[in-house]
Amino acid sequence: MKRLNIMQKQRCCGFIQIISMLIATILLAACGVPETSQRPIVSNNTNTNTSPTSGTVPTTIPQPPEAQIRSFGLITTNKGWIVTNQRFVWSDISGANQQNIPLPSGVTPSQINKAAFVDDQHGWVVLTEREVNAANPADFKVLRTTDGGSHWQSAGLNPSSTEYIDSPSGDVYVDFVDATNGWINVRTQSSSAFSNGLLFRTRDGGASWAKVVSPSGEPIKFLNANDGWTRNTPQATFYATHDGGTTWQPMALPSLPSAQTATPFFTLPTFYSPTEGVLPVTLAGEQPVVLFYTTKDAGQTWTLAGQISAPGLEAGGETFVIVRNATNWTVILPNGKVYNVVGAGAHVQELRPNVPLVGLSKLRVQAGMVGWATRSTSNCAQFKAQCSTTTALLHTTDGGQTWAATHVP
Amino acid sequence: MLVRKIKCSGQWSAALLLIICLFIGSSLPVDAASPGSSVNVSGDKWFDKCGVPSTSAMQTWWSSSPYWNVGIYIGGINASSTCQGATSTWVSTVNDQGWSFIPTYVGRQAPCTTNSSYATISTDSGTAASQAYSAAKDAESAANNLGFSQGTVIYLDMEGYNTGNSSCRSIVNIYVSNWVATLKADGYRAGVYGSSCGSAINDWAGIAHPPDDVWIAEWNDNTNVYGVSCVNSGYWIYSQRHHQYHNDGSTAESYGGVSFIVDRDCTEGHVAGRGNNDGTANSCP
Repeated sequence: MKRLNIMQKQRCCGFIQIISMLIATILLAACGVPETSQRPIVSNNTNTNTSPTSGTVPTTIPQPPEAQIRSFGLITTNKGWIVTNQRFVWSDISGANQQNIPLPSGVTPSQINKAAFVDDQHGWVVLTEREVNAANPADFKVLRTTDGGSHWQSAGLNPSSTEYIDSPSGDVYVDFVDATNGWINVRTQSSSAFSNGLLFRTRDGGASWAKVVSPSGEPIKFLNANDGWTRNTPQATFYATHDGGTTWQPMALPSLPSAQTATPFFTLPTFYSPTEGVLPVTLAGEQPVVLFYTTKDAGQTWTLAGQISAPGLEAGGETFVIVRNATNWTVILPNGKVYNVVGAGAHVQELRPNVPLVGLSKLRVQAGMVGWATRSTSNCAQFKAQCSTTTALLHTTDGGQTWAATHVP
Repeated sequence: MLVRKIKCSGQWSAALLLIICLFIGSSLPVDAASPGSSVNVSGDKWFDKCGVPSTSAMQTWWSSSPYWNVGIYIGGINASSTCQGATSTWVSTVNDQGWSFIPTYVGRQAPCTTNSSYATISTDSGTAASQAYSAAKDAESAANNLGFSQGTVIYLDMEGYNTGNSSCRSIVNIYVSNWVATLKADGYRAGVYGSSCGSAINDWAGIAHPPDDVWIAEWNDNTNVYGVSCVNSGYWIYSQRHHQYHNDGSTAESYGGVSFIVDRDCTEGHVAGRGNNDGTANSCP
């Protein structure tokens, strides 16, 4: 019996040792050792070859695999166009009643970079292809229709070959204010320290294009044939033109902190009348805030109307504002928070969004109440692997206070 | 029996003491480590953007995104304050999270650039060489201030220009060559960013001091670091390439509830930090 007790005690001590080691191992693992790769390091060599040969410039922009929604916009409160990789359609706001918009023979929706319509007859598509015999990779084909797509005519942008000699760029931004006046801004290749573009203007509905000045390779917004705005994010500058893009001036906004203390991101203005509009500026820094400027003189001058405190907001995110009427707005921050702003900025109330709105981009609104926006969310099923992106087209009919999914063709 | 009893009790006490010490030790703050002179090869995806996200956002993206490395702008006459913003504390913290870095200096640009806002290289070759020397020294200082020390890799941003202008092209090549020579003489690894065709990257293989690594921009949505336009695939073949293959434009990417607008890159080249080579040649997973 004594011997048995001794053996039991020995087993007990051994058991305690094992448990102790196990607990110690768990504690070490919980000490926050960063997840780093254990993969082998490849040795390097600085030798380089010395026989130069030249490559070739591709003729088209390749298709991002996850970008199913290529372009969209509204012409009324219940009709708009949607371009996906497979289809080019008219649709009502919920995605029902879709009708194909015809394209010329040989042109498919996947070749469309951007589309724009001012009504159901007058429209333009910028293709990913260059014009035939183009000397410059930025000389994209632009198709135009005056009968809703039954017939199309083609024109090129005709940039100088010396001004843009890189391979095809990324985004193309299109804005038409009526059937004859429109602009296309082509983003040219650069590091993220710069934002460069080539801006083209038409005054004959797209039959011909003239290159004008571009302060950046970012979205453009025009109110009429002369007054327009854009931003240069790396420069933290808001630009205005009052001659259709021939010249641009940096626009100083009152009470805007210097970019060295708070990085500004300018959302292009939304106008709710020929002279009145709202301009949100998102400021990241120690005390993030979104400022709202208003204008009553078609953007000649801007006045600070109100602000929303936005703790934790990151730099470079875009704030969207839906102007339901002159004094009541819906504001969606880059972090997905939604606010009801009344009294033109005098009062702010946070709303609980009915769907997550982080990842919102490309908002299009009609009459201040009806709109479409894309929302992209990405995730990785495993650490750094099996990553995918889902892009949804959402619609609102109450000025952005609630959103629902839109059926995408 | 008494001896065994004491021994067993002693073992139990020792185990308990060990556990307590480990618990206390794991609770103590540990100083974040800077990348220092560490340079390794990475074979993975990374991103670059104007400005630096917060360290909490970087932690979210470390856990949720496919990216292993991050490009940061460290200075230069053409670098806006908006696009900089990294500090030594930020670098150390992000380094500890697991990230590696592509420190980039935005120096003078080609004298024939069409962008009138750029500070440009002198058209005089002697002055151009001197400007490159000064830029390299400034870049070393900026890198050191952020926690990257001698031995690290620093990239120069050389934007596209009219490569049909032969004298301009020659000046750019002199500038790049002298940038590389200065860095290497001081014990650094030298890289250069440019547009695949627009910066005439191919030229740099034949200059007096070729870059150790090249970061090639061609927004073709193809992650392969080889087969890019205008750059001979026989150059920079020993894990010496990065490829900027996509520009987000105005559409943010969202991982873990945090959104940024970024440029996407793939690498089979040198980064500052631990590197994360997955062993896959020529492209990212």
